[in-house]
Amino acid sequence: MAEDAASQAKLMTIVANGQPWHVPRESTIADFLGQLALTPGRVVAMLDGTIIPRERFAETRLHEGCRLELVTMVGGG
Amino acid sequence: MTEDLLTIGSRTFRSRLLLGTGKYRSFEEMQQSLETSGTEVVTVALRRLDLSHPGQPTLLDYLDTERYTILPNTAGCKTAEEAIQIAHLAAAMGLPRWVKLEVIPDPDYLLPDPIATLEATRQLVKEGFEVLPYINADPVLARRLQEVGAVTVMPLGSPIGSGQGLLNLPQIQIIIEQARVPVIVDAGIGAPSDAAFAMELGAAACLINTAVAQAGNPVLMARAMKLAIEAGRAAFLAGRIPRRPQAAASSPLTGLVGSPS
Repeated sequence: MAEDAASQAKLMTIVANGQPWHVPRESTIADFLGQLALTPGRVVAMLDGTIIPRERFAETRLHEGCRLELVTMVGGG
Repeated sequence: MTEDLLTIGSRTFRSRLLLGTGKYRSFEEMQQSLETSGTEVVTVALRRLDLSHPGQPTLLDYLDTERYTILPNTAGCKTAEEAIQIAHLAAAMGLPRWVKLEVIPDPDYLLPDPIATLEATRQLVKEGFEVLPYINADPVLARRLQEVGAVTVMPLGSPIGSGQGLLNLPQIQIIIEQARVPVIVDAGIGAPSDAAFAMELGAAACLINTAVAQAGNPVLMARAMKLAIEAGRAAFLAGRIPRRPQAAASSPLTGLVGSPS
């Protein structure tokens, strides 16, 4: 139990693309993508409504309850 | 003869066929269709990244972004604000600073909102975007969009994906007659004859997706569309004969064999 509480304390919940995710505290956007093993070719983020280009993923920290949108290109007309 | 080039804003192209990348049965078919079509501009949509399936093939694995100029669309946006945000996201993604602007509140006929389209165009032009608005075939709206700086106007022939051809023909003709920017017929083209007809009338280009992607053989249809666009363009430049109410013989009417004189 104590161990669970300790690991819980190290995690935070964020909402990414509409779903809740548990990520280590202090994670950056780049850390989150790394955790998911995602290496998208073209991607842009929106963190709580602010656009974050890929170059800033490594320096942009997530926080408890934040809303992250990760957006890419798909087929369209 | 000087080369017949298509200029949209600051960009110049040889091909007058713009292709969508949606609705193909496979990425391989899409890739081959784009190649066969000779297109230089392909549209894409922006959507949430699939976080649950890392490693799954995506559009980007099959789309050579060095070879094609990517034109992001704002499909799915119901308001001017949403469309402006998608344009911002596309630019932040490193895509060219131009956008196929679609503001479509109506899910059944996918008809664009003219007022929101004009508002979003005005705003995006101010921000330095080259805006290619998708519109109903309304000549007055087309003029208003040009006045606020749209680099083209893209009237629909008939509703998106309907394949009904050019139902708005007289209106499209007026738009072409009055336009100072290239007119791109976008949506509704079902067959190469529709595309050729649009080009014969003086459309600068056609934007096609479903008619190729959902054809029995998309790669062959891509070739057919390429030829139709080229044929229609050549016919426009050549100048078609006027329609006449009566026949006019192609062969001489004199020197008929066995005639009395």
